[in-house]
Amino acid sequence: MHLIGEVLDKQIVNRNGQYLGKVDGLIITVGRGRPCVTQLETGGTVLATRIHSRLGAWAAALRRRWGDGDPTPERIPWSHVDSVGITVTVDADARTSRARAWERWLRRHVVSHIPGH
Amino acid sequence: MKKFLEIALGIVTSVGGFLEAGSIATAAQGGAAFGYRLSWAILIGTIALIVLVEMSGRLAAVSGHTITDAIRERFGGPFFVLVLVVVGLVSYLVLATEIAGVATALSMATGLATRWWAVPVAFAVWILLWRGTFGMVEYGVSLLGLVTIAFLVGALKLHPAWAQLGTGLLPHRPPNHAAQYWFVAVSILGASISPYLYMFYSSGAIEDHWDESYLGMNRLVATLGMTFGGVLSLAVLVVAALVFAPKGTHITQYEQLGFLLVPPLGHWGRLLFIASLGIACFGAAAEIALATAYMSAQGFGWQWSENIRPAEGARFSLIYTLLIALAAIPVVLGVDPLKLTNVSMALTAASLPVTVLPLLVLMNDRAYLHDHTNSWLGNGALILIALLSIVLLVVAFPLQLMGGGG
Repeated sequence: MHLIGEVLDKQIVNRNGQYLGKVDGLIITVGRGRPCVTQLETGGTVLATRIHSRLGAWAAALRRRWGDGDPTPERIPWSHVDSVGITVTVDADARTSRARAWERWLRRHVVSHIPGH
Repeated sequence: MKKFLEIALGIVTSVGGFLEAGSIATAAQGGAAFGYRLSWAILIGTIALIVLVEMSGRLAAVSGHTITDAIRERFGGPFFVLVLVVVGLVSYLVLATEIAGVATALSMATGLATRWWAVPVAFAVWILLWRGTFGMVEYGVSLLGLVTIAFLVGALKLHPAWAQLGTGLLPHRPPNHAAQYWFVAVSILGASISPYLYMFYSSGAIEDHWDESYLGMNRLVATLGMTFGGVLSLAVLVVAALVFAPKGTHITQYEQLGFLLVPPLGHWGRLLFIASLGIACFGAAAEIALATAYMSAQGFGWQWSENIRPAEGARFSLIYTLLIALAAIPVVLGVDPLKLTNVSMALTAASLPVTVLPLLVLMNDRAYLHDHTNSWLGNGALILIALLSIVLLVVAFPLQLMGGGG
């Protein structure tokens, strides 16, 4: 699979130049014929699982308790990938993307309470 | 003209970044205990830093990627997490050291104990990052940092024995107190070759929108800026060698260093030392906190920039907020600032392999550097630095136990 080395761990950027995490994982579907990448995954739990499955479970538990309480990572279908270069450009809305769920939660519940934000 | 100004400011910035609690304290300890004999550690540290800073600037200018981005892409997420944990822990200790440095300077100026200053200092660093822009951190603090030239003036006024100083620039074995000699040497190297400096520099290149047209400037800024910083460090060592060594003064507290500049500069010497220590440490604290936030954000792919409002980079801003708050704790608890400095500098030296070794691969990768990959000279220098970093990792912990007590 040539693609794994070309996409994994790259920066995900949307069409507005907003950062949507790194490609932490890939969903590969083995259908008829050769296996193919169907989705990109991004989220701390995915990266944690790559280091050790127990660390992944721990990260997911942490996410259930803190923040928005939902540990599912953002999955971007391959059809939404515009181009793969130095970064991976995707068609995704930063306002709703799960890649920014933590960011939004921290902004609403922490940063907005600190003067001068 | 604009480029000229940028070069000048870049050099000033590098000076501001170079001299901080660690380099002042370790150079002074070295000079007080061993005269000019440890000058070589500053020379080697400065050359190594020039090489690393030039490379991180070149990587950023040509590829548009910081070192952190490149490490994550080339070596994968799990390796990045290892680098983040190691550099993050060391940066935490160094940040605590710098906060202690500013607090000590304020304590010397006011008489109020160091620990009482920890929270106000941490708060001031945080406010600068929370409200300020990258330019304010980069230029504002470092322009003030020019006060550290007082060390150079002091050294020259004392008329050092140049021939003896020249001999000190060549590494040699210690005359006595071998464990302490090598421990101070390792601390000086750790204080000079700070990962946060080249990590910060590569992020700064992206913040300032560098491209390939900046390569010449990058070489100049890295070489002149770090040389200037190294000369100031050496000046601290020289003054300490002339002021403290003849009396056999053993440096056990920062407060003793307050007299460092009194023989050459009189009453002003004490004030200039306090101002230099306070400002240099304050600038370094801001840079370290920012460098750690950059590294986390870049490695995890979050929005990052010191030029956006905290609300637009919530995770980025909260990382430095948390780090600064935690770094104030040991100072509030009254941990000895000089001991903290020595431990942090030795651990910095031990942490170098995780950031230096990846550069061996990255700087030869045409995907990042196109036609600007390392020359044989650059690779030779980098291999030597990598070997040095491994030696430092191996010896830092045993030396800490043997000579760390000073």
